[in-house]
Amino acid sequence: MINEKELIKGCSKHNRKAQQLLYDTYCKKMFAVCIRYCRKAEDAEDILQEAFVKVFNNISSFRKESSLYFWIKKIVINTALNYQRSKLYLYPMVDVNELHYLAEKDMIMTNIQHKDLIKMLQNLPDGCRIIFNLYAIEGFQHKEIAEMLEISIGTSKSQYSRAKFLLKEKIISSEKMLYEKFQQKL
Amino acid sequence: MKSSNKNFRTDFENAWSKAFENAESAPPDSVWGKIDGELSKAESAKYKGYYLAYRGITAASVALLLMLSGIFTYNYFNTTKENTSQNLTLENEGASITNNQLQSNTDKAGLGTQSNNITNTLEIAETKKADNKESQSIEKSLEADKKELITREQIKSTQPQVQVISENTIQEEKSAAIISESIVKETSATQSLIASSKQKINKKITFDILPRLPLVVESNTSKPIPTFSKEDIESYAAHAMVIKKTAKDRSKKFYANVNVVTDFFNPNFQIAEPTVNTVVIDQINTMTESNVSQTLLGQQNSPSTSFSYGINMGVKLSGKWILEGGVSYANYNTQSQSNFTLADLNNGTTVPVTLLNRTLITSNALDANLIGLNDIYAVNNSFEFASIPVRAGYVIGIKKINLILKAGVNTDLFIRNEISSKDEAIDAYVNRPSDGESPFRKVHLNGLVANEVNYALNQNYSFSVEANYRFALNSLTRPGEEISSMPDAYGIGMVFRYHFN
Repeated sequence: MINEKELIKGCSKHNRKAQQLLYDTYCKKMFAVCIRYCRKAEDAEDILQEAFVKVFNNISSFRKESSLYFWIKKIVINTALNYQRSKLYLYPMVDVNELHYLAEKDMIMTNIQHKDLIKMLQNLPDGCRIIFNLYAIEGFQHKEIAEMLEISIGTSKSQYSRAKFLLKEKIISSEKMLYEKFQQKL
Repeated sequence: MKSSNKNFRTDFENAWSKAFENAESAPPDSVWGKIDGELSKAESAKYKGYYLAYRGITAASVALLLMLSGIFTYNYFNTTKENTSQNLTLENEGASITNNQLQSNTDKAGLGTQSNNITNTLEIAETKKADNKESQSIEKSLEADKKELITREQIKSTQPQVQVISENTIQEEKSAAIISESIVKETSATQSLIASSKQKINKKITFDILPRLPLVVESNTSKPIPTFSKEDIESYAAHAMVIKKTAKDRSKKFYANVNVVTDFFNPNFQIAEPTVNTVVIDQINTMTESNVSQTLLGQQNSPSTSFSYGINMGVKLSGKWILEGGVSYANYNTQSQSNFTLADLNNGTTVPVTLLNRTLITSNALDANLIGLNDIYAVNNSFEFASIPVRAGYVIGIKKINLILKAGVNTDLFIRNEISSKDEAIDAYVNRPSDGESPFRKVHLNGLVANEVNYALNQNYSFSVEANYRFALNSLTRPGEEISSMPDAYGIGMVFRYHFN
């Protein structure tokens, strides 16, 4: 079994077998990331392809400051952001303070399947989807998101609030549907 | 570096994050195919770049080769053509002159003797053939004349009034032979004259700015003067500049320099086991231990005026590297103190005693020589070396001013050490490598690093100021000596350099 160090070395020498092995190791996880950022699967494929080409062309610059997984993931996210940037139009939705939040105790996500969660994300508006991914799932701060997307912190916050609001609505409706199905079965 | 927003996260965010924490989704197989294709495309583009570069270099090489071949061929044929045309002209002119001479001669000698004269002339011409190259052309012309004259003779022989008497004929033959010989001589002289005048006439008119352009105009020909376009001249001028530059670079490849350096030399004496004092004390009852402290035996040496000078030859290697070597003489002086002297009763000399020659005390004390305990007096230690330096240098500079960084090794051949005092009552003690009791090595190695600021005075001469530091690579003293020395020296000097043309 080839280790990560040898894999990196092989990829640095443009060894196609090593490149394919690296791709096989990380493609599923990275494709899951790509899907979260895109509305359509075709776009996710394009992002994955572009991201891995960047990985192979720049792997010699990998300094092992972080794990290879996070390094590749960073490239995938940046590629996704660049891919979306052209069609992304972000603006402050509403004032953050005016947003109405549903009680979080009402949120029960355990009953929702993974593919439905992805579908919920994909149905979000582009800006909301990206900022939700960056904040809720990747764990970036609004300040960092603002810098990455060259928007104001307020815009990031409002887009996120909007995304959160929309998702909660979807979750509640999903819960209702599940409840109704359950009642019908009874 | 990403910072976490965990302080602001709620269960909602954590639930989403957890839901996608280990999420995996298999992409279609076609994605790898696309990546593979894109990587191959990039690699082929890269190789294409190499291929284009290779092709370009090959084309340039071929073009250069063709150009050089063209220039060579042009020069070669131009020179050959010139020589050939000159030879042909000489032959033609020589032949015509011979014909004229022969014609006038035959007119003088009469028709009756023409055939014999011509025959003799032919024979003489044949004997001269081996010695004279021009006789070939003469022979050709004479052959033609012979045929013509034989025809004329046949016509004449049909006339009855022409009677040939044998004796007269012999006389006439002799005189004709003399005349013919003189004709051949005259012909040769005439040819030489023509050749020299031809050379004068055919002087090459060349342009200094185009040394490689064979612009030759023969002033005595009717050929039109060749004309060249501005582009041709610029091209040749550029070519000439390259040649001149190459010649200039080649000419400055070697240099010689004379250098004079003022040094501050420190022998750095170290005593391994100071047993000498004990020996002295044992043998000289009048002395106490306090009288013979080491400091008074010259252990503490302070640098004094020193100098070195030498000549070096250098060669410019590829790029900015230089390599130089040569010979130099070094005289290093140090000052120390002593309060011992040794008076040799056999020859009446009194020499200073220091750590370096302290063995004198032990070896000569038994010979009833006097070991004196004097007042403290200054001792000068003089070391003389013949050095063979080998140094490599790197030249940094623009135009006239260069900084040269040098490093190398000096092989010092020990010449002598002189221990002397200003006190007239004390003689100098000289130590040579041939002396059995010399504590010094015959050959001593030291390293050298130097900085040189060089200023080009003109094309051939340059002047430098050099600062150097020498450090011992092995001890100056022999192994097994109680005293060891790892000397070092700082030097500031001047270098006067000549660059060969």
